[in-house]
Amino acid sequence: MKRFFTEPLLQFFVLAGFLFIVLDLLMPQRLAVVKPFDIAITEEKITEYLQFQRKSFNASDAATLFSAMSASEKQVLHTSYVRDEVLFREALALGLNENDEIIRRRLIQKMEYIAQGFYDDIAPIDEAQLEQFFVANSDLYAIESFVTFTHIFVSEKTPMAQRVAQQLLNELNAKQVTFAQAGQYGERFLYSRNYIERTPSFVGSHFGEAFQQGVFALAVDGVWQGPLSSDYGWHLILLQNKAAARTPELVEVAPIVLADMQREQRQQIKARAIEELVAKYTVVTEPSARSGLIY
Amino acid sequence: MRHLKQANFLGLMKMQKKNASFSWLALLAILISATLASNVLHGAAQATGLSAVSVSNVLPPDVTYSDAGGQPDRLLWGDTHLHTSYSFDAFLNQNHSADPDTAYRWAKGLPVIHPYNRTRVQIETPLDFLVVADHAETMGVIRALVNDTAELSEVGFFKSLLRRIYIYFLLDAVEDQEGKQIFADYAIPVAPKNPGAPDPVVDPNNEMNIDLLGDTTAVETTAWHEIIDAAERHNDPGQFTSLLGWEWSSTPTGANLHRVVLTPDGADKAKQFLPFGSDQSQYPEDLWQWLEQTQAATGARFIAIPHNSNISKGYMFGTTTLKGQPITANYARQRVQWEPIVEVTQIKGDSETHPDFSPDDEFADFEPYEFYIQQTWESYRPKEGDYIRPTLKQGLAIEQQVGVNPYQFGLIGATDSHTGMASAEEYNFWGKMATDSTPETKRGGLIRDAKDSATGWHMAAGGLAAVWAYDNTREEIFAAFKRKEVYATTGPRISVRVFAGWNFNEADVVAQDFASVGYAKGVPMGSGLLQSSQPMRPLQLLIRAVKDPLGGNLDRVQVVKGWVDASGQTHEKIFNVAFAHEDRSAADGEVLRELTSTGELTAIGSTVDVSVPTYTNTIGAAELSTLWADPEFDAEQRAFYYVRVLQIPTPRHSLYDAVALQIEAPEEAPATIQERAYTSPIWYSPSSSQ
Repeated sequence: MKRFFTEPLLQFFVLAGFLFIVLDLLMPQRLAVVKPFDIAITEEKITEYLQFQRKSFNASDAATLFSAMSASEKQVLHTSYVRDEVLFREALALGLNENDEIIRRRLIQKMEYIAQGFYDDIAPIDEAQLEQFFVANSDLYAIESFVTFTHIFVSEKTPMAQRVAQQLLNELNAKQVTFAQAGQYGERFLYSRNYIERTPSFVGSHFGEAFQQGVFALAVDGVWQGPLSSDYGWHLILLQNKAAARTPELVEVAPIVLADMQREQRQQIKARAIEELVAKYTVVTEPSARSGLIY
Repeated sequence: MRHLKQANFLGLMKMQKKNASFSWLALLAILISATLASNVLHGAAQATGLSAVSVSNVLPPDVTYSDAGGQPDRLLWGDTHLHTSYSFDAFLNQNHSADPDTAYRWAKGLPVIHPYNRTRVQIETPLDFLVVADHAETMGVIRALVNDTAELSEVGFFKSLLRRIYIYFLLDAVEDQEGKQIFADYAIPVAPKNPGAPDPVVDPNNEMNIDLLGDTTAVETTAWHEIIDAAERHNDPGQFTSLLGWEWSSTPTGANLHRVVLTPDGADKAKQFLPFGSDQSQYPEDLWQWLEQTQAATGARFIAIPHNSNISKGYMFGTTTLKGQPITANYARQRVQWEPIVEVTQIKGDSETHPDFSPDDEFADFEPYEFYIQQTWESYRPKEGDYIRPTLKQGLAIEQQVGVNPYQFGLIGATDSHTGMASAEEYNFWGKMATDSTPETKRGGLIRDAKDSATGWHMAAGGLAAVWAYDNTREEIFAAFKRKEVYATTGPRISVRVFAGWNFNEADVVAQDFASVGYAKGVPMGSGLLQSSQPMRPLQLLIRAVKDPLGGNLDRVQVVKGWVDASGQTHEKIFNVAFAHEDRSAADGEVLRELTSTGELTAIGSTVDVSVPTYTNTIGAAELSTLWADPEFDAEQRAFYYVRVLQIPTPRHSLYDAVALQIEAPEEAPATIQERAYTSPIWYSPSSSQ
């Protein structure tokens, strides 16, 4: 008898029976899967299915809707659920989910999407944070230097034309010709007469590089200056305003900064979520069989 | 019926080579074809239900200058036709990431990441306005399916099974970068059974959309609202304008009848409707009727802009309606009310004219594009209804008969880029589709993987709309479109003004205040001009063209005149009215260019060094201005006049890429081109016709 109890096979059966009971008590649904041809239907499962069918995810609404269904409607839902479940399990049984690059890519995409889901966790950005982001990235918001001027144009590039321009300059300053009166003098320039808050590249594209550097070197002193030569002729200039390149105040560019900060935050949250997952893994670099070299 | 066209599901399955275990699907195939057949019948029934069209008698309100202060002095540059990843074909051709936000950032001059080659790219000269015009059909749906954000409608068990299989293959193709193949094989039409028949919509080969995804309205609504929200965020009155719009993509049996629809109104009105797509009707009359009804219901105002008429098989600007009925005064009024503007030039070719119809025009053969949007090859046959100039002439002839000109439209250019980047700069061109954006990937067929398919080399890097406006706002840009005070360029920012009148003098050509003189003594581009009270005077055009500050000099300014004689015959003639005089390309220095006795002018020459490639502005002129009087003016003949400005030859985008690859310039296109501007016409009417 003692020998009977020490029989390893018996001990094995008793232990197995005990484990079975414990598992059944703890996780009944886990064991249910062992019966591959049973489909357990509960009202919870059906109403959850109903939510997916309706693309409307509100459990209580779905429960209300379900209870209001006629018997035949419930039967249709029931049949449809069973069909879906059967096809899903048959696909798993056939191993259709294995070595399937589509499903792999799909799962990766879903994880990426879930990582994006943390976007909702973005805390509202306060002014101090915005200021901090702005200071750290202020070069992105730099405002170029610009000039505001009007000009009077003499269309020839010859020394003679330069002398004509010089005489005209004296006349303009003697008569104290204003910004608005400039149109009464000189010839028509092919682009604009007035340049309002224009950048070096813009002025350069209209007049050429040498003129651009010349006009940005002038001082704002309320008198006509020049003549400066351009690609097209001679110009007399009344410089109204000149501003050096600068970093704007946050208040001037706040909407753009906020949009940029939100974009960066979303990227960071996603990257962090994925980094946390990667951290759980150990990457082992195996030598390549073919070359004996890593990679 | 708002779904991707899905002509041959069995064919789709052939693409799946790797998964042999899916052979059980073959069993479903027979059942599937049965479902498809029933859907085709269903679709046909729907189409005939739309045949009754009411015609509006409402004329567009006259737009005048008198009630507004000053004159439209701001020259604004923009693109009215840009696709993003929300368009099914853009997405299937590898634009997965350039969304409307990217599009606006690019247009405003900010750096963005290219959706295919991941390069950090930036426009050289920013735009002043932009219309994100994604295809209405399955708007945002492919994108949502791949991103798993699609809310699909409930369909029956069997259909949901089909849908799953369909989506499975779709995702598979997108993963394998074979989305292009899906687009080529299933998303575009097949050739007609009866080519040249009056109505391509009723052709037996005109497949209706297959109801495979079920009702996708929820996904499309989300997409449309996201497009609207991006536009509202980026609209900055006075600085940068975003206009809301979409593309109605009717392509019965490969006849391209596409229109971009745009509205100056904002989210409050635009969120009350969903864009009207060709899956609702392929007839433009139904689009116009929808615009009228939606305008009445929501207060949103619209215009529709036809484009790519060059591949419409003659149906875009027919001598009859699309249904083959004669053009009546009511039809003509309805058409000009909704379609005051036409896109004459874009990446898929230039539609000004064809050498067949303008044999005397030495510049007619510009950026030809001879590929219909269809699965099966059909050789290109130009029709008069494909091109703008024959159509403007036809319009005069129809007006002579029925009293209203259905083709009295202004001209703009646009890109029709599908990359989210409105790129029209030859040296900074980022592709028609995302996939043809690098030199190495230009060779692959864009429509079919075949030798006779369009490739990245065929595409023209261009198309911009120039607008003479009072201010950079939605209202003012829309008003300029309505009064047709807009023009087209093939990319460069060439400034052009033209005024027609009877009393200009030579001093006006050099007047400091050129525009004030023009408006005071004449009418601007896009206008009509009535017979002078002194009938012996010839019609005059006061013209001024200035080069792109960053571009090539100007070769010449031409006036294109079309007219109809008493017998109803139409004619055209081109006049060289201003040109750069020096030709310094000759070996022995400057040579004066002069017109021959027949009005011809020698070619400007070329400074392009194809090995770099580069060019210099040592030939051509920075500005060309003139006063021209029509030497053949006949006060009794209806006529139109538009101005064409030609640049000196510059390298085409294909030459830049050929040099990058260190290959000869490809045979698909010339190494250099003469970029150009086309103004909206000015129409002359004899007073006896009023």
